[in-house]
Amino acid sequence: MWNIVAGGTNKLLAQMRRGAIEYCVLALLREQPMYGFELAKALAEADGLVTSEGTVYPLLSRLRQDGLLESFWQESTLGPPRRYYRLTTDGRAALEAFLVHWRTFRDTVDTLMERGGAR
Amino acid sequence: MSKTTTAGLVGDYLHRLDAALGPLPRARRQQLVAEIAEHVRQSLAAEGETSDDTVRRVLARVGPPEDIAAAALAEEAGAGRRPSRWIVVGTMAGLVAVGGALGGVYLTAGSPPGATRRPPPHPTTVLVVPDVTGDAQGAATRALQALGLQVTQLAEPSQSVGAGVVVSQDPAAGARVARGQRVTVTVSSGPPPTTATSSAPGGTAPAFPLGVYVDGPPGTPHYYLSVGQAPDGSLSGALHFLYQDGQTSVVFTFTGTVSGDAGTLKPVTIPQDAGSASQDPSTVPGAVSATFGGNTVLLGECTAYLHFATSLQDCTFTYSSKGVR
Repeated sequence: MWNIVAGGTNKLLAQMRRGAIEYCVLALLREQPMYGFELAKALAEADGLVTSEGTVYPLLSRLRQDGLLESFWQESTLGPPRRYYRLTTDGRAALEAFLVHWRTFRDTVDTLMERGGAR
Repeated sequence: MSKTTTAGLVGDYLHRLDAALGPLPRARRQQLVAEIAEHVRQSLAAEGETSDDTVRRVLARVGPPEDIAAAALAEEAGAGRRPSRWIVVGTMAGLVAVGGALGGVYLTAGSPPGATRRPPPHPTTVLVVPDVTGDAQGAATRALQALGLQVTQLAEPSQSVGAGVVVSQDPAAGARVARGQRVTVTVSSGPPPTTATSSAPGGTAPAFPLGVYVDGPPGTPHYYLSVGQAPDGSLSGALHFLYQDGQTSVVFTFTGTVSGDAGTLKPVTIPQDAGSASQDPSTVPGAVSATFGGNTVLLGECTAYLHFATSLQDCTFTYSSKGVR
């Protein structure tokens, strides 16, 4: 029984991460462009958000295809040029919309959890 | 540390990734492999050393190739939910720098846009891998592909083996493999470049920088041209490309001659799948050649073979020595 519950929790966590991760990428890029290596590091260091640094790249690629990010090359003094990512107008709009939904959702769940005595 | 082991660890990792990404469209696969290769290079640069343990730790952080492939396949399936659009990048760029740091260059079995790739036939057939060491790069590749094996090429400097000749292969000759399996051939890129200040014979100062980082105009690749001069005055070298949005990475090896303050390089090898150039260079009229002197490099026929330029004018680059150690 414990295994079933734990398995269910893991699956739920995986689903929640999957839903949130792309907005975390957009949020990291809110203030300034970053290059792939920086983004992958930042996401991998955030506890449990991605399974490994390498899995960030397929996500970046998809966000670019979806028009939420765009990339550009910038010379580096430390080696070859780097591919930087920045938000597109659509990406910024998607992030702002998510933030509104997320805050409402988070507050609603928190309120119900507290009312039910969950904490 | 052993450079060979390091290059091997990274190379093996990237091969596994490339294989795991098999179901993806070629362009996506090559782009992803190039990005991960660059990530590994930057991680190793950040570590400041490349002992085998460090390399293994870095690769562990990047994650199992199978996980990355699973993520990529899932994203591919989910892409296009929104209208996609082409993103124009300022410079189609990306140096094959893993090779610079590790003594070997990972090459995806690269094809310029437009080239086709045959799917490996009958994946269940078992084959015996032939011995291709000592063969010319093109012949080795053709022999392996004719058997239905996939080929990945690595380039590595060698003092004893001439440029363009296969130094080693993995799996070794005699191994039994399934048809469609990947065989890695390591091809000599010629002797490692010596320092530019070495005196040239006959009192002629070498007119060529021995490592050139070439900046193309926006929209063209960056590449690294390394040229060494032998005691007899002849030149040999290699040109490493990595197109990221152009989706291919290739290495051309050259021999050349000096004349006055200009030089001419002609290809010894042409990478497999480079358009129609998966042939012996001697049979390809006007195959890629490079001429350089002063501060410019002209790549002949780059419109036809390199697929990135629309006119020969676009094949002239100004070089600088930046970014080269």
